[in-house]
Amino acid sequence: MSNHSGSHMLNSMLAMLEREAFFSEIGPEKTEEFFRHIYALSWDYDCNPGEILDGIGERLAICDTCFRPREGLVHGTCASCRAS
Amino acid sequence: MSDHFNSLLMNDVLIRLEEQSFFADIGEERTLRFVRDSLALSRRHDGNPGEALAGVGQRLGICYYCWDRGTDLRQGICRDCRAADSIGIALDDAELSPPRNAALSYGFIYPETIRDMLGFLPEKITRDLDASDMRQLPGHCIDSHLREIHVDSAWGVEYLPGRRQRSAMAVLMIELLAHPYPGVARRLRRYASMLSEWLRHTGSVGERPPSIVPVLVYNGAPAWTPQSCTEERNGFDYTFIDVGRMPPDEARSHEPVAALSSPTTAIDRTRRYR
Repeated sequence: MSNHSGSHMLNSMLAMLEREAFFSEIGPEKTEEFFRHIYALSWDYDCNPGEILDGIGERLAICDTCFRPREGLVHGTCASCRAS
Repeated sequence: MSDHFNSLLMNDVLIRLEEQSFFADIGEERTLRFVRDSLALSRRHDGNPGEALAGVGQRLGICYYCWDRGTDLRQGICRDCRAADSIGIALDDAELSPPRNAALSYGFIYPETIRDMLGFLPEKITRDLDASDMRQLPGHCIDSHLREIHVDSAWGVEYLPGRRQRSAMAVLMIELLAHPYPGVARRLRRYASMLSEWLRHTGSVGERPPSIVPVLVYNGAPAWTPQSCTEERNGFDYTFIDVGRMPPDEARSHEPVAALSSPTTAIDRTRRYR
């Protein structure tokens, strides 16, 4: 069990930011930093990482487990996280 | 009473965006639109606009009451909204905490208010209650996600001697709303269940479960219409009191409850009871 309501809220908010071209404007480095912060919040607020990044993670190439930019995501998860 | 947890989550994200110069970069017009969308999103998740915008709204010059740019913001509320809701006095009173739901959230609820509120409840509930024996209860509980839920006000009223019920006592669970909220019945049902279990678990009401009596007190500017609560109650009942629209006669005869519509009166009463 986790805070599904908060996870979906974050997911919608990230979609809003994507529509505002926030991630392309700040660039990959700051995007990574931003998602590290969202990752920390997901722990603080008992959210579900997969739900937070649902759809958005693959578009931005952010792994839904480690929240880091990764290539070759499968169902949203990077090779390293899949292996572990 | 709302999902404070998600409100604070939204607030954390907005602060992070502010730190990353997001609002400075997108300009005032897009910022306003984005903040409004965020508050609408927060509300869909039962969030509280005041908490979601805490601090950020003041810095961006966006009032959490009208969701618009405003002048002379104090604790997140613009001058026009303070004037419209007559909450200016409250905001200038340094002894009082930041506002939420205008005057209602200051804790201007006293035994006298509860005694008067009993007059709004169905007789089948009040006939066995001892209005002279009541106490304020801890108005928070922990849900299954370990989130702390704060009830706006909870008061336990004992049953009359000889009329002991199966319940330990009646608990008036008072929800204060300043804006229509279509999902209010679902929220009340959920919190009634959690509060009942929590009060029993913490020993606040003894071993038997209390009988939760939900009361919705509304003092919003928009009229409460059937569309304000669109969902089915499914047998769940609560007492609704629109303190801002009481007929004059009723307001006179229920002065303690009617006072909740006016912060000026409420503050006077606070000083009287201190």
